[in-house]
Amino acid sequence: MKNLFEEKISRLDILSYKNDFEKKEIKIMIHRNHSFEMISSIINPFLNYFKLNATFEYSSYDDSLTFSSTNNADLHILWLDLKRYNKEILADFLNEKINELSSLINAPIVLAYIGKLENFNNKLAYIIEVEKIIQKLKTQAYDLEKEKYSGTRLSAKSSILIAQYLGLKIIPSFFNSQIKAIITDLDNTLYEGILGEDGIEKLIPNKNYQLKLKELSNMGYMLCIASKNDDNDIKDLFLKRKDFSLKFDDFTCSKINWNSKAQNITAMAKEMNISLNSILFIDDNIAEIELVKSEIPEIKTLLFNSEDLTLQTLDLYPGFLKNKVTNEDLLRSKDIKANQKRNELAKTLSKEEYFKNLGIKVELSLNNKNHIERIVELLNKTNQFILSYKRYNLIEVTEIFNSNNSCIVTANMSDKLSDSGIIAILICKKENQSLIVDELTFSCRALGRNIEDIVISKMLQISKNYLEADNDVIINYKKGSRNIPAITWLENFTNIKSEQEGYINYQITDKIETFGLEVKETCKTN
Amino acid sequence: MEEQVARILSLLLGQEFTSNDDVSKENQDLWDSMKHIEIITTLEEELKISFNIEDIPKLTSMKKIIEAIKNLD
Repeated sequence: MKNLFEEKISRLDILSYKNDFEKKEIKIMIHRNHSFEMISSIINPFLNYFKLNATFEYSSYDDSLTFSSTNNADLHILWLDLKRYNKEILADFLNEKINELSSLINAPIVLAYIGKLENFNNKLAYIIEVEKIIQKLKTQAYDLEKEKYSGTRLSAKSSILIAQYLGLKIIPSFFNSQIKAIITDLDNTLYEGILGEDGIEKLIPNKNYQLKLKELSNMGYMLCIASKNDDNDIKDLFLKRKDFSLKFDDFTCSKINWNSKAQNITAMAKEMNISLNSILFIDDNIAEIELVKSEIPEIKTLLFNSEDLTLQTLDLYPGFLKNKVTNEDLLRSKDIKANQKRNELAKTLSKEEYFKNLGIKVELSLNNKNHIERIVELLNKTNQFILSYKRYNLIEVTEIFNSNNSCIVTANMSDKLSDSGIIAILICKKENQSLIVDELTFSCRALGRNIEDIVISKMLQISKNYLEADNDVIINYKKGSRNIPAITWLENFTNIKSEQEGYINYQITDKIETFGLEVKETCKTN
Repeated sequence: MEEQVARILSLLLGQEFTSNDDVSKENQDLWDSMKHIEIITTLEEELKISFNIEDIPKLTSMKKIIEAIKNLD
C-alpha cells in the first residue's frame, strides 16, 4: 500500500487505503463556483489518517455567493475560480462576503481559489492559493478540454494533489491540536550512520532534513532530541561536525540516555510546559515509534524511512499552519523599542501623570470575532503571563464565542509611542451564578505600566455583567515552570497565597479606580 | 484490461464487480455525471489511454467502456 504522503499517489492508491481508527465525523460546507466533487470523492482516506471523516454539502455554482445554506457545518470552504470576476472589485467583494459569512456562522472559513488575487488578506479566513499546490504539474494542472464535463478547469491530476493537501495539511489542522515541538532521533535520522559504531567522522548528515528542522525552528517550533546515546559523545559530535546545519544550541531540550523514549518525551513535555498531543516525534526505528505510541497514545509520530519522504510528509503534516504575519507581528518590534522609553517615564512619574503623559488608551471588547486569530495565537504562545495553560485551539475558541454561558474579553492598548494591539485575553464562564475565570493572559510587553490591575478588573466586570453573574469570582490557575509573572500578579491582586494548582475566590468591586486611564468599552457581540 | 476496468469501477462505485457484470449509469445510483468524469479520468490515468473527447458522454456502462478501449488499439 502506498504512503498517503507520497507525491506520486494515484486515485486508486488513495481509494484502496483503509484504516480502522475511530473517526470523528465532520461536516464541511463548500460554497463554490466550480466543481469540488473530484476532490471530495477522495479526500476521506487522507482525513481518516488523522481520525476524521467528512461529509460534504455543496452550494449550487454561485458566483455571487449568496450563502443560502450554512447548515451547522464544522468548516466552510469558499471554493472559487476567480476568472469570471471583475478584477477591480474582486478584493472588496471577497472581503464583504467573508465578513458576511463569518457573521452567519461560528466555524472556521477557508478561501481556496484559482486565478489571480494580489495582496489579499482577511483575518477571518485561512487563505489558500491553489495554484501553488499544483504548480509542479505545469501544463497538466489544467484540463480545459474536459471542463464542460467536469465543471472545473482543474485536471484530474490536480484534484489528487489538492485532496492530499486539504485532507492532510489543512483540514486536520482545524480539528487537531497544533504542533509546538518536534522531537527527533539522531542515529540514522539526523544523519546516516550510528555514532557508537561508525564514529564522528563517518556520519553523513541528512542535510535537507536538518535544514527543514532549522526552518521550522525559525518559524517558532521547538526542536528537541530523544536519543539512546552518550550525552557527552553527542555534544562532542555537534562541536566537531561543523558541516551540520543544526547546532546543539538549536535544540530547546534534549534527553540523551538509555531510558525509554516515552519516559524522556514525557519529561521534556513537562520541562517545556506543553501537552503531549502538541509533539511530533520522528524516529527511524518502527519499534521505538510503536513503543512510544503505546505509552503516549496522543503523541504524533513520523517514521523516518527516507529523507525525501520525511520532507514531503513534514510539508503536508497538519498542525503546522503558518500564522500569517498578523498586524500585531508588525506592531511588536516597534513596541519593544517604545517600551524602553516607557520604562524611563514610569520611574519618574506618578500613575496619573504617567497615563496622561503617554496618552495610554485601552479598548475592551466582548466576543469580538475579528480578534479570533490573535486570540488563538496568544493563548498558544504566551508562556509567562498565563494563568492556566489551557491552550485552546480555533474550534474551542469558536465554541466559546458560540456559547451563551461563556465569553471572551480582549483588551487593545495604544499610546503616543506605539500601538500594542491586543494585550490581554480573559475567558470566563458562569456556573451557579458565579463567574469562573478559565484563562487569562496578559502580554509581557504591556506589563510594568501599572495598568494590569485596572484593565483586568474592567475585563472581569464586563464578563460579570454580560453573563449576569454575581460578584463572586473563582479564578482558576495552574503553576508551570514559566508562568511566575501571572501567579505573582494573582497573589498580589487577590492577597491570597497560591498552591501548585487550584482556584482563588475573589470579590469584584463595582467601583474601579482608574487613575485617569482612558478605558473604552466596545461591547458588541458580533 | 477487462479486469482492471472492473477493479477501477469497483473502487469508484464502492462495490465488488467482475468484468462480466452489468454495471451502468442506469443501475448504479452513485454513477452521476460527476462520478462519470471521475471514472473516465481514472481509467485514462491507470490504463494510460485517452478517450476521444466526443465519446466521453456515451461511455455509460462497463460494457461500452471495454468496447471503446478495445477500439482505441
